[in-house]
Amino acid sequence: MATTQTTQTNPPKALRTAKGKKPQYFSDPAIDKLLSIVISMAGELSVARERLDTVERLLEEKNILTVSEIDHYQPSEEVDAARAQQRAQFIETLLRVIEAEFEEITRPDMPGSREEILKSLT
Amino acid sequence: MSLYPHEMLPERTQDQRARQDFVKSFRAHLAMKIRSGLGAVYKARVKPGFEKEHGREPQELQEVRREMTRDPYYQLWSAMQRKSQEMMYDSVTDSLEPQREHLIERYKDLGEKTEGTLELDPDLEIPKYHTAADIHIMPGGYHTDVVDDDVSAGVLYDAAMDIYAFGFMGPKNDLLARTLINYYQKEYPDHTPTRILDMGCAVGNSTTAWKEEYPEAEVHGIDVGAPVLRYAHGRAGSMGIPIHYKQQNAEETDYPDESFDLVLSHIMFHETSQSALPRILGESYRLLRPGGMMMHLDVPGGSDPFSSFVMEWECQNTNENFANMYRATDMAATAVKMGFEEGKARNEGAPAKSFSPHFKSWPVVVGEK
Repeated sequence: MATTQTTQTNPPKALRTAKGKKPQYFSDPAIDKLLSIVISMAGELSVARERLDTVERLLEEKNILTVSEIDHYQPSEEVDAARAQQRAQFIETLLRVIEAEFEEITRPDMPGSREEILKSLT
Repeated sequence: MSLYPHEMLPERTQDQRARQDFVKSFRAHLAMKIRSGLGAVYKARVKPGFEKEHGREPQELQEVRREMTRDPYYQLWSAMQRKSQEMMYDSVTDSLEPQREHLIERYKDLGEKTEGTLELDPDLEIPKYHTAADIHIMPGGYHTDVVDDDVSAGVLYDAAMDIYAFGFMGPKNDLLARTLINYYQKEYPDHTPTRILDMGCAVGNSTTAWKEEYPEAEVHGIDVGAPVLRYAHGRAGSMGIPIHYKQQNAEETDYPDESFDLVLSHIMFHETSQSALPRILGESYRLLRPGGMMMHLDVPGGSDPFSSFVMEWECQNTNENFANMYRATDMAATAVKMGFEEGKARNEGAPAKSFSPHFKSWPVVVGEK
């Protein structure tokens, strides 16, 4: 049986960057980027909250549960524990950058400088 | 409030809508809350700091700019303002990209059903003031076709404008046309235009408003960007408003002399250039019939060094690069140089509906032939 080979080509991507010179707003360009990331995150949080709101409204519309049931939900001890675990994990992930600095200071086998590492490579 | 649901707008999923709405709310907050603090910051610390150092008030825009751009409050606002504009186009692109082919088909279908027309000129040279940098930091500007028969630039411009002004432009994005129409009807109550040309019409958001107001008139719209014109054609078709769109450079069109009795533009000149500006005024004159008039509405400037600084933000930050040079131009005097009779061209103002204290009217250069 003859087979025809088709090569799939993806449609051209939409443009996402404007031609021009982007200004730098802060003395350290990293701050510009950080701010940008923080605002993007705030945007995504807002998107997630609205999605949850849609879910709640649909559940209520379909008489599955009411928003009041969600507001007055009493977690069992088991659920409480699982959530505490999730929160701790979330906070740890969020603040990883601070922990990394702590490790850098306290870990005994941490190299003191990049030069030190390079020396060990000779 | 959301946009009038014409058929050229992409559908949005729950998350796409929420992402766009976030940018809209974010921009409203930046404009109404944070931006309005700039005046207080200037008075409380920037101006006193300058006075202490120089023994006088700042007298020039450049002096205010130098001091303000070092201020942390301004830096944060400005960086967020820029970011919000990047997010705005990004959030529209999210919904546009998967529907692009579908929207191209739709513009073609709508175009077949309308009495309006579309004439594109693939050989038209796109002026440097469009290709040097993407105006409004809209990726690709008004003129880039990502695929054949693209309408992307139109989608971006129209959908983003509603986010940009957080609904302030109205459901049909026609606030500027309505502003100019109000001005025209108040100042010239006995005029009834029969042939209207809207220069730099982009997606036709102003063009259709004029046709709605004067249904008996023949209304034409020109722009250099093909993708915005295709979109405009589909949009007008969907709204049932017949417009004649043509890809033309307003500096030199192919319409015969004395083709129109009303030649208009809405915030176009500040996106042109030093050489294009007088040429467009000259072309306006050529296209007018005796007794006809031109009205070009554009962005205002400030009335003192500080308000000038606040008003020039888009010039310095989002590629409205020619705006300051436009503001420094005496439009009426230039119109006279380009053919209008002395006394027949005037710099006027159309009252602005605005949330900014620095912004009371839109400059309009009026010329009668």
